[in-house]
Amino acid sequence: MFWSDDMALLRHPFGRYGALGAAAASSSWRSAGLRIGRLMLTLGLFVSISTTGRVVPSQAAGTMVAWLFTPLVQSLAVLFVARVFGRDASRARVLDLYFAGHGPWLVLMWIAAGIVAVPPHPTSIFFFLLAKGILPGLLLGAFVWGVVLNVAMFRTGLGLSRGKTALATALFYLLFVGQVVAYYLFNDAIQPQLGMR
Amino acid sequence: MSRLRYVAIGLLGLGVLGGLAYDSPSPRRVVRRAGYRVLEADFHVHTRFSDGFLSPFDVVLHARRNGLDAFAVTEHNLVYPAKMSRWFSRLIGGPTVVVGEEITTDRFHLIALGVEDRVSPYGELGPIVDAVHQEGGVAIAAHPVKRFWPSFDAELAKLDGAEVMHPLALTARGGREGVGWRWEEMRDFTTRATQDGRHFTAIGSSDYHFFNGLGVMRTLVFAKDDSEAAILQALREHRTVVRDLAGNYYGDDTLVAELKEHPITDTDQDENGAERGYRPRSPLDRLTRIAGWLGMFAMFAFSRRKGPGCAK
Repeated sequence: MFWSDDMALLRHPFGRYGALGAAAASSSWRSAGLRIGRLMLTLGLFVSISTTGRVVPSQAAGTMVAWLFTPLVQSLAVLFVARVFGRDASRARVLDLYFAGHGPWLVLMWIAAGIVAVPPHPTSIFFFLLAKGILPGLLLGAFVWGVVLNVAMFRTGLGLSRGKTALATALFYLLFVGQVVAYYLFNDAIQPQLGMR
Repeated sequence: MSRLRYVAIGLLGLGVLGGLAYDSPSPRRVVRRAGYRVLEADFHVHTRFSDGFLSPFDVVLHARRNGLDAFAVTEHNLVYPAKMSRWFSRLIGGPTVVVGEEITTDRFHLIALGVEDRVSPYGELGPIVDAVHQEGGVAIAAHPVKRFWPSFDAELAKLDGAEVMHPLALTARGGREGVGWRWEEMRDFTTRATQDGRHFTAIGSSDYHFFNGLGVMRTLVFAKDDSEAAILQALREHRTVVRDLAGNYYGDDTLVAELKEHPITDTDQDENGAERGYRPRSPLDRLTRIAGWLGMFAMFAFSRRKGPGCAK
């Protein structure tokens, strides 16, 4: 099989996470770190290509550093949830499984970068895809499939019951989104827009 | 390592070589009109610290890439990212960075330029503009569409200027209305504000968040030099000119007349500015871009070895 776990999980979230869950009993920090590194590399390449049209190493590297908060807040959320619901799973195993399931976002970033890198009139195409609802549709699709992957990770990857899977998924998103919202609340970015004076 | 991984690394390597070879700062030149230096500036830029993609350092490099002489980082209700940009730009000899803040509320958005301390977004517009002025800053109405008019109209005498050009103009040209905001409303606000002969600083801004468009709309600033202080002084004295997509000018009448007589023909703002930023410089440039993009796919899509746990 030449597809990566991210791509295989896109097609068979539950079955593939079951296989990964069994294999990941011996997960190492290095394996989890490599997955996070690949996510950050893709993010860096996406921002570089979407900003300049090219793979500019300094731009990609700068983005990888500036966006490190993303895997950090995700890791904190998923580790806390695993601590509550899946006590026997090691932290390396949880992170290894979680960061294998970012396929929808990786593909979305690749498509968006392609709009800029390949066609001769990227801005016109971008506005066309936006106006036709194709880009928002892809964004929604990536989000929904990302939720499915997280459910699959808790259910077959970590072997939680259905009820615990539902609770774990809800708690994960509460913590993940909560951390982001807390940052913006701390910086007064939200309250004035809600009419608070 | 699998053979496909070597292909991925090879494609990405080609992309990196193209990026190194073809990515370079846009050459700047010194242009003078009416006894002033004419600077191309963008006074509305966001970073990763609010809702942008780029770090405060990367926006400096991108502003240089897109040929700006000056720009302002204006985060939502924050100033410290702007100070980070200014520090970095001074370090590398980049464009002049004006420290700013987009004071963002449900009733108005206000660009505060030249403020060193954060201006609180809580309260009414009048006292907030006063606070900006007390810090020696300049208060610019940000994208003054109709929903913000009640606040701006009530404090028109206190405002230093308004954004009259904005990327919304690009969507207007395509017959689309964006997110319910219309560029024509911005233009009408400035036209109305200057009807009784009031001097008003015309601003063109990209409201940059992501992708290439930093400087896609820009302001021509007539300053004594390219220092932050000289730029702020020019803004206070309304020495700016902005051009819309139809070629109409907004701003100081004398300076507009000067520009009509002695136009600056190769300013980096034109109606295809957004496309121009992505234009390949040669077929080889295009080829390496596509290689980099394919390499990006191959890096995450193809298996490194066998699966989890194997890398230990």
